[in-house]
Amino acid sequence: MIERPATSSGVAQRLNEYLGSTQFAVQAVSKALRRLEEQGFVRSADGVYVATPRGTEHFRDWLSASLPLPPLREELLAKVALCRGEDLPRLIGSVRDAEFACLAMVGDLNRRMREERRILEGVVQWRQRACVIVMGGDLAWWEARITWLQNLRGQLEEEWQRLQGESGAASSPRA
Amino acid sequence: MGALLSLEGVGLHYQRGRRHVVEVLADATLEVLAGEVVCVWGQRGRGKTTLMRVAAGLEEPPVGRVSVDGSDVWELSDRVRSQLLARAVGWVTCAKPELDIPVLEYVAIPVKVALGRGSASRRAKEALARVGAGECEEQRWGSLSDGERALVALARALVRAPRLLVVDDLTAMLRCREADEVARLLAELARERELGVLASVSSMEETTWSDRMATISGGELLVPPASPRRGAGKVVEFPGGARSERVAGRGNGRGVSA
Repeated sequence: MIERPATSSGVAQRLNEYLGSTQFAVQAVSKALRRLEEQGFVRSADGVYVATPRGTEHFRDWLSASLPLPPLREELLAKVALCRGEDLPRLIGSVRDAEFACLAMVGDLNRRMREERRILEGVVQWRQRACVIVMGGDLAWWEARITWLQNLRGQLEEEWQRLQGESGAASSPRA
Repeated sequence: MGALLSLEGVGLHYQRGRRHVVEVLADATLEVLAGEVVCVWGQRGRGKTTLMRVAAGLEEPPVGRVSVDGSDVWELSDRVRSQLLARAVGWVTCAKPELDIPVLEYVAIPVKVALGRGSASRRAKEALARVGAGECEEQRWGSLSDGERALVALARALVRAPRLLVVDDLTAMLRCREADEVARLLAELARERELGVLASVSSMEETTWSDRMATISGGELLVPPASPRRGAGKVVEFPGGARSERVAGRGNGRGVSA
């Protein structure tokens, strides 16, 4: 609606185009639009919705905000799908921040695992073993998440460099 | 306490073809203290081995500073640098040795000239025993299991009693339990000998026994702060219900050791 006014079915169609793997029902989109209208982020006339200045500002704020921990896949993918080229450095920074946060979580998990495993030495009770197995599963989950974030950041950085190459500018998204 | 190893703003790139530049390390900054194990985790081909080679003084980076025991390695003369690295740094990798000789002899080689054959052999026996590979003394590399090779490589690095171990993906070929035992052994050695250990690993499970961990990706080394940063700024409501925090700056803590 920041790009152009749209009906609820138009918004649903565009969301499905942007976020290919997700299916948005028109009914759910209509409900969300009514909520956004109540909050003053969009206004409507004859079933056509348009973003208000407040809504546009809120969208920009959301796009540039750091990610929650653990980073929500759906929210991050929505940011990637909806961001514009100029938003990329900010998004790259957010992904990097999320990596940092995940790494710190791994550090905490490792400390706990070390303690548990020292306690576990010579112990055969299932309860204690289960605790270490669960933490091992946690670690694998964080590893997968960090790998995904790193791959995502690599692709965003490549895209930013491509855009910079096209415009003839030379700045690093890491700067 | 000063750092045993310090990398400051290290950058390294390779030219691939005329126009393509591969940035292997970009502004990498890291410190390793005596008695601590720092693990660098990363996927294959992300620059871990290059980082390890730079840290061990085997490769000179065109940008940045590498210090071992407070001395800028690449400011030293070739002779002094060789002496410093031989004395202070143990390079551990599971590469196949060029000579097909018994393990005891292979492990003793680094100190054979300095100590003489008998003392070198005694030192090698001690190193092999410490890492739990005493039974491999008479065997040759080809007959060792992957786990034994890792231990022998570690013993060979320890024989010179270095202050810093730089370990390049030693456990990549090992099964989970063996890899864990090697990782734990490194942590024990760090404590008992006040060794600094910098190790690259491909699996996050191997970071369990490390004091700190970093990751490398796209040439960028990320060393996280001690605990997750929360509450860094304004909360932005996501209409769908999720919440995000707006961070005042970006790249906080990048390349800075915790």
